[in-house]
Amino acid sequence: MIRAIDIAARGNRWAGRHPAEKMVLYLGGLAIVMAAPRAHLPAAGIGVGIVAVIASLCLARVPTRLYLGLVAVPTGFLLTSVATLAVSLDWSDGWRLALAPDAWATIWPPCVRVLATLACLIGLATTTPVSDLLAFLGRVGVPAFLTDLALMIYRQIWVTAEIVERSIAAQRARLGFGGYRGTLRSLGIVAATLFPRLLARSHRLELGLAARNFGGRLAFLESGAAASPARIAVTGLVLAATALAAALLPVAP
Amino acid sequence: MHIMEGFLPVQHSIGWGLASAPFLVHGANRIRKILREQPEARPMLAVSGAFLFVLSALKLPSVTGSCSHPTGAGLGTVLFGPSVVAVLSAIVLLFQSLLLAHGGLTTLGANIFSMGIAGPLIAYAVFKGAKALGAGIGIGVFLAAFFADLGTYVVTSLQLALAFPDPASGIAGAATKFLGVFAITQVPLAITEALLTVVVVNLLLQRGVNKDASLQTLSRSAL
Repeated sequence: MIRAIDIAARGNRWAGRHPAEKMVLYLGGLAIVMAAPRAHLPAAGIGVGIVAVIASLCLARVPTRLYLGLVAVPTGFLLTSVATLAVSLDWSDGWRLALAPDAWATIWPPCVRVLATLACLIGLATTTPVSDLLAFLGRVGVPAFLTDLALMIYRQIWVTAEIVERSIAAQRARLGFGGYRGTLRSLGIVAATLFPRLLARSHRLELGLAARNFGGRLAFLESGAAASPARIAVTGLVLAATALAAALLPVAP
Repeated sequence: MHIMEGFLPVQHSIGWGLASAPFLVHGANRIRKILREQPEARPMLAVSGAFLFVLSALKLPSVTGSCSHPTGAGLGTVLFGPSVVAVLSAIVLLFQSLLLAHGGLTTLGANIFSMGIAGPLIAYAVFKGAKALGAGIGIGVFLAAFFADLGTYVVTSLQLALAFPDPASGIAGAATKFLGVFAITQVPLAITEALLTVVVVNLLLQRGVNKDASLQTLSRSAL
């Protein structure tokens, strides 16, 4: 899944666009949903959700199958959480678990918020490479040592994930991962073998950086596209219209 | 388990973000100090963050037959110390939301508090307490990882209970409901993660990883 998201983020139609354009759309949508008062939440949630889905699937052309797969897992968690919210525990006269009075009023706001903000999060994740987001965060005031560190972690994740995949495949070939104890032992060996290898790798990286006269700042190439004021203005207008429509539509109970 | 995107009302999202901020600032200052004094520690921090990310993505078998993912709080704290783990966890949680759609941006503060702050602090206190009481490394690591995993879920339950109090029994009733759901699934997983952490730490000690100079820089020899 992690590879599929990164591939989508680098291969969609909006991949070359400046991250600010996409952040205005998706983070703006997210802010509208989170800030919407309860009475206007359904209209705001549905409006933002539709805008985010159309932007991601129709305009940026994120693969639909990937998008639906990403929505499915949190939706499963949402159902479990909603079931917990729908019941009420009353211990005033002995322990009694029953359907909560007015359960629907309790469960619909988080459901609307989750589905709408999830559309924004998945839209951002599948259209914008993490490296672009980190570079953008660096430009808007997040301390450089943190964005540099996050960028190095991001790059190391891919190397580490590959080592783990190979280690697990090698162990399976040696009949590892058999039963509960066998799986625990196999996983323990994978993690314990991985860490010294990563330590050795960090020492090699350290040597390589020192050999290149490392002075404390890492410079990576970024995509050269500048933010388009026109596209940002259109995005702002669409979001403003969505928020206005939500404010004018009949209120929820 | 992470609280999913959008699940918490906005006041709670902001509140947990503010609650996490001082710990993150403290951890970031510590990392800044380490990097200022030893710029060569940067690769070590980077591979440590990647290790925590990949560790949290490993599928862990449960004795109940299902599977889950380790929090990594126990192992991370034993290896690197709680202040460094708080910042590394924040970065890992941000990546989990952007690379896996697990957790979310609006719930980042709450998830950092439970998984990156409460879990590691519990692990650190339990590990130090067990050592002070004369327990061996294995028992200390087991208890630290077990209580860190369980503590993470207890804090998550309390966060959910504060956001969604039960109409009849209030926050206490809601906490009981959420803890009841997690206790069934999480206690076996916490035991499994604790056993896995002991296996990993034992193997690391056999290989002398605790004597690694750059690891000592980060962890101040938690082991």
